Amino acid sequence: MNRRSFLVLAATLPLTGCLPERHSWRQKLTLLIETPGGEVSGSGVVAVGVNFYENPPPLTATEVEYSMTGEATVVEVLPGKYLFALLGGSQELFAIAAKDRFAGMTRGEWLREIPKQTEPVTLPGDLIPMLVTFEDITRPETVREVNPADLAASFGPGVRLKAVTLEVTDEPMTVGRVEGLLGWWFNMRSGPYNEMTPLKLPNSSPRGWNHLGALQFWSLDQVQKFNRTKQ
Amino acid sequence: MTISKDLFLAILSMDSYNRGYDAGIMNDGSNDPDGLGDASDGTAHIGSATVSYNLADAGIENTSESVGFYAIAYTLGATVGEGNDTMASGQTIISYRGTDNILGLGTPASDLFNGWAFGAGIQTSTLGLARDLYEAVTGTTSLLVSALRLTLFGRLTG
Repeated sequence: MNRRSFLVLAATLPLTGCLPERHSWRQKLTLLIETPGGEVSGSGVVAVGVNFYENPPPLTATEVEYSMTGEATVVEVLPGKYLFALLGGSQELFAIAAKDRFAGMTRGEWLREIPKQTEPVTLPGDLIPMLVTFEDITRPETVREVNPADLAASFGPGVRLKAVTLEVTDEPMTVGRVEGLLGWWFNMRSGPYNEMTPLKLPNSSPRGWNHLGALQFWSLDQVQKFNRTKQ
Repeated sequence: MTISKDLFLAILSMDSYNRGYDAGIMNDGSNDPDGLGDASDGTAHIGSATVSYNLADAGIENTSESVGFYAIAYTLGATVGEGNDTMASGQTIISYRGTDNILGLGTPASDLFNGWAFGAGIQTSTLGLARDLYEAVTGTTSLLVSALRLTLFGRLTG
């Protein structure tokens, strides 16, 4: 055993008594939109993993750690006009949206129940993920936030978000749709690690914009894959 | 009410755990990806401090999350402290988040491997990121913090 392995083993042994309970599921977000040409919808499936510590480890007292793999959900609302439902906060979304089903349960109990859920849940307005669109899908500087209560302001009269639902599913994870639309982003890189450069999302702040990073469109593992393959 | 400099720095030290990815608390509905918010556009405040620089500004957002590193910079909008023990308006403070994920099971973001190993003499990625953020905020590689109107606070690991 070399010195590094010994040090790692020595540091890890005291922690083995608090190894986590692991849970995982795939969840599908679906957006249903009314347009002058009829209803359109789009779905995206992401995979969620959870480490739950019944006995939180020393020093951090962390009870739960989430990981998520996948990409933002995309809907082509009108020809060439796309709506993206971003990833931020997706990990615990089902538990929060369907909290009535888990009333009185501890976190450990409802984490065990989520993978067994078969009925979708409709997301209320405050749980709808952040929505964005691009005025021109080929130009990063045209990214704009979309108000879920007023899609007409972004897409024109007659366009309305009818429903957003979330369900636990056995369907495969959605991969490649965002990459197919925003492929130009892979070549926009900056910083000491040559990361994908964040977009500038206009807002009403004193500065007038905020960063919108690649991790809102792809999970970390996907972005790291692009780092390896697209440079 | 006047607040002491040390108490305010302690609050900022804790505050870094509540902003950005894996934030400890939420304030923006129940589906909150960034806790109290780490936007550096002038909209995120705590007391007289405004978030003025974040990982995205430094171009290290994705790399930081991949190894479990987080820190944030604030700029004071008013003098903080009492008597001779004060920080002046305009002072910048970088607050480093400490260990909050020892093993990082299921992710590569283990403090044990990316942070603690530094104690064994191994150059870890979080150490480099801490330096990257410092250099991005100050615009210099100088460690003469007193000359920069800068305060470093928090703990990287441990």
